[in-house]
Amino acid sequence: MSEQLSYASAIAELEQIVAKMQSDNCDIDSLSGYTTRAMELLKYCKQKLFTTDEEVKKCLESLNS
Amino acid sequence: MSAHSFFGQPQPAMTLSQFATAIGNAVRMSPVLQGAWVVAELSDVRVSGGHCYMELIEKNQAGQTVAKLRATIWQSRFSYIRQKFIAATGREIMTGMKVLLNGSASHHTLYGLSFSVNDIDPSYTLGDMERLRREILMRLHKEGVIGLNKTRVMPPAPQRIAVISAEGAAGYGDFINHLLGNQEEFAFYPVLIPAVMQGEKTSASVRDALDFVIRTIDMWDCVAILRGGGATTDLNGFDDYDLARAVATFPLPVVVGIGHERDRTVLDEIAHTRMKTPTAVAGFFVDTLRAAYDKVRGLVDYVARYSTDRLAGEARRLANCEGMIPALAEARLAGARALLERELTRIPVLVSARISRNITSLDNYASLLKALAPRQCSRNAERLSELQNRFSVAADGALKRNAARVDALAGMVSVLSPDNTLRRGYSITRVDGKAVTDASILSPGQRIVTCFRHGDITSVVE
Repeated sequence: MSEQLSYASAIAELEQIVAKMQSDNCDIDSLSGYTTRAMELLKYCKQKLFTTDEEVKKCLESLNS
Repeated sequence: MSAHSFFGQPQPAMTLSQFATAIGNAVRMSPVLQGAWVVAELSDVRVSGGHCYMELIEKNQAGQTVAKLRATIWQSRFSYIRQKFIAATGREIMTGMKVLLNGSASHHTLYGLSFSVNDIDPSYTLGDMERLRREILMRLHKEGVIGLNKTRVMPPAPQRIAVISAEGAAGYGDFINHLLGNQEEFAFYPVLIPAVMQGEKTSASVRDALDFVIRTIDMWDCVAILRGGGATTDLNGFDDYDLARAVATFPLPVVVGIGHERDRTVLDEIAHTRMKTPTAVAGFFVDTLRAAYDKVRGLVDYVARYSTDRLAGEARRLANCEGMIPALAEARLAGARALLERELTRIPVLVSARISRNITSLDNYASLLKALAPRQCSRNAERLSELQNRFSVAADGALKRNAARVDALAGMVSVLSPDNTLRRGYSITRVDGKAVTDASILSPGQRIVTCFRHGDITSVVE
């Protein structure tokens, strides 16, 4: 995912998917798409939380000068 | 000793030290000046050689100093008084504080008048500090900004943290260690923005740091203001109106870890989040990220489980349908068969009804025919005889005409017949059996046969 998705919007999107599933209007064909997207979002969040983003680090370090 | 006046007789006089001693005695003897409780503001507080030296001052409404007196807490009393004060307020005795002291005035011939402190009532100072804090909070409340920072939204996973703290301070070190060494290995991006964190320069310095954060606001998720390393030190700088306002109105959520267990400054009341120590602030960030991660995992879990359950449910439905199909088909067939049977039994009935209807119809036609036929027959017989007549008349006529023609033709035939022609005297000449009509074809010597009505002769051509 190349969009500038933030952690907050990832959570929001996941909550939307869950809401759709809970609304009973969810048809079987969409399930695959939702599940795939949920996995994508999980991967994104994990990356954000656990991997140091070198660009962010460099940017903030340059402030000290 | 005596002095001589200009006109002769000397005035009785004492020496300065005698005078000073007398002052000293008078002061020592005055009950009002001994063991008195006095309120004053502290100025120029300094500790030297175990003794605490200070200036007691009083200011009026306008802020002008209207009274001043040197004071000392001698080493013998200082440790007791200091401990008592710290125990009650969590602070050191310092400049700017308003205190309630017990002590006695004394006059020294050389050093003059001073106040010797014997005891202190810390509750007065506490009360004063509280009063000051309350005033600041009231002001912020009136301005409508007191709860503002608490309304700022802390991102679910705050990682880019602007840390305002003193460079090299133990508190900052603890924070960094705890944050970057977190068990789950969450990634954080803390950046130190150094500031003075004690004394009267605190407010201005921290506000400068906050301004820097605002100028680079897009780079941050939140701010952490940290100080403290365990020892009780000057936190007065944080009970400042300008600093409090800056934090209250700050556009990012501010987390403070600047006191200890018990001590609360104005900033503790107005910041978005307040923790006891810098280490606790680090713990707060780690907990926040953990909660965010758990939330995401919970949601994804739900999605996976729902999908699985749903698919399993659909598989069961399908299996049920599969099982039901033969029975349904059978039921359908039985129904069709029954229908067929019913129809079959009806057919003979319908057929015979149809037949009898047709018979009736036929009878009707027959009767109709019978009624109509004679008339039709006689009409037809009439026509027939009429046609007969016309035919025989026409036939007769035709026959007669033909007979006449035949007769005519016969007549002509007889007239034109060779026999008739021969009778008239003509003869037929033949060569090789064929009749000759042209004499030129004959050549002398040829045999010709000539037929007369009676007999024929053969000749030779000359």
